[in-house]
Amino acid sequence: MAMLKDITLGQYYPADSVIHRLDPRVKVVVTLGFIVSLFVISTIPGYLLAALFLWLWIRLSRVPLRFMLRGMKSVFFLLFMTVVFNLFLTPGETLISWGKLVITKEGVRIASLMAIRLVFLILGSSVMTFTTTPTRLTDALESLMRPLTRLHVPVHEIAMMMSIALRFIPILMEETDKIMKAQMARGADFESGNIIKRAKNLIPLLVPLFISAFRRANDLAMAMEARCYHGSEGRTRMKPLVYARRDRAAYLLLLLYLVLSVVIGRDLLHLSSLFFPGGGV
Amino acid sequence: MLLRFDHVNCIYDPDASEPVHALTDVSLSVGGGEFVGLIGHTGSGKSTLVQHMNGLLRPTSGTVFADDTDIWSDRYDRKALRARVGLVFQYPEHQLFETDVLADVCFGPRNLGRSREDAERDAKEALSMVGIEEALFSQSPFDLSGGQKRRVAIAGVLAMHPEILILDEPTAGLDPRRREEILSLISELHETQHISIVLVSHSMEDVARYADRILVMDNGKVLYDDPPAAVFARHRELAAIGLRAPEAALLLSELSEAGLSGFDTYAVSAEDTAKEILQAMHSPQGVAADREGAV
Repeated sequence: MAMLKDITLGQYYPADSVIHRLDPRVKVVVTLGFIVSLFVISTIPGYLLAALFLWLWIRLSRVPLRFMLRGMKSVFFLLFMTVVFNLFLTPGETLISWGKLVITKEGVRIASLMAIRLVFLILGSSVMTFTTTPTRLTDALESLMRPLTRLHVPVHEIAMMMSIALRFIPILMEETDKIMKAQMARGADFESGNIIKRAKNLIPLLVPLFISAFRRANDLAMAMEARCYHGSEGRTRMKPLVYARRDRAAYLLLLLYLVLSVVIGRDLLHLSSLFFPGGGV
Repeated sequence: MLLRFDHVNCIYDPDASEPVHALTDVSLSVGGGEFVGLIGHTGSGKSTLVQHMNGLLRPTSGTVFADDTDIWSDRYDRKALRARVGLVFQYPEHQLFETDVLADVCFGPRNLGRSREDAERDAKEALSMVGIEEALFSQSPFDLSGGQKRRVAIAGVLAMHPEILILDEPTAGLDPRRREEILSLISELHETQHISIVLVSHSMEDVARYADRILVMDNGKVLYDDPPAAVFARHRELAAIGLRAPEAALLLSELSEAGLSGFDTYAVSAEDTAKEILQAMHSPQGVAADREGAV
């Protein structure tokens, strides 16, 4: 179905690029670093720097920008609401007003700031998911969270659950598509009617979908047991994660970017406002 | 009714790094009381093709006509089309959802706007056609055996009174006996209800026995569109695309290569093959004359 195909966010995009080959841990750390930087930066040169970093990050990944923007469609509503709320509900110096609706100077500033941050955040993190297979991603998370095992956090089990859940998304989507088509072949209608009718019309889709999800879960559990899966203890990896030179280079680049973003990205005069919201601005 | 494909192309995901050409320039027609076999190995585009037949997929380019009306023209009622062109998906038992068998089979006719009584009448009729006894009508479809579930699912499509019935691998995952049951059920529907059949399969044997015409697909293209005998005569080309002609056809062609002449190498069923061989061994000239008479 067209509507299911539009969800490109979080999908893997197969290609051969430097970013695809990077160690998944590096990609997770770079993504986190980039997100943090977006909330540290507050000046225009800072955003230009972030844009430059993002541009490089996307270009090197060789994922077509058009493909990435298609994934943005699904978050457009969220973005739109954020902008509207910030635009109208921020108190401050009046810029334009129609009756009770007031756009303030601060509103414009914060709304555009939020919009830029959100767009950058989504694009930046989607590069990670576009270039990393879910398995590699969970491997990375497991490896990065390893220290938590000392606190008796079941890191391996969490990672395994995550990778299974991720692995099943495309399968369930395909299954949804198939069942939807099968029911449409029997005259089912998923597109018209009011919201209650539509919800009711979903029953012929959801019941078979749940049954098949349980069937698959059961089969998978059996298959894992048949291959003697018993959790993390003594488990080795087929492809252990090892840092290569390009990974160290990437870390270095990230560090450089973070330092720069604090230096030019922070309006040092207003730094105090971060800690004492009453004053400044 | 007659379905006609005119230069139909289908490309999945044109924006992806590797767009998939699922169908390439397909022109054909099906329906009109025929029994058509559609074969091709996994991924050859069979399922994509049949989903274009009832308007579940829209061609990227080209046109699908139902009785000379473009099914993607504005205001064409595709829901009504789906009732006339019944499509039974692979593993159709996975789409069962209702609390009892009868209600599940009623789903199709009810969606077409038929009244409860009419829908139940249609459902009962369809269930008796597929050989489900009345005692099972009030049972949960999930308590039935695999073969029964599949027959109930087929009844779910039959209850809409399709003029063309398309079955995508209807025997997949069934044991030989259930296979036989489903295939003879389909052939019975064709003969007694005069429903046009499109049987999708990768088993030549299944298709060979019943089809009047065989479509062979490979890599999104329709390679052959001929009567079974003519298709099986090309067993070498078929082998090249990963399909195996029925044993009978292979045996005859090997015998003819070994020097035993005088029979029709295109025979399809086991019985016909045995007859051909016996006749060829006893009076080669007689068979040769027969064949000329028949062709």
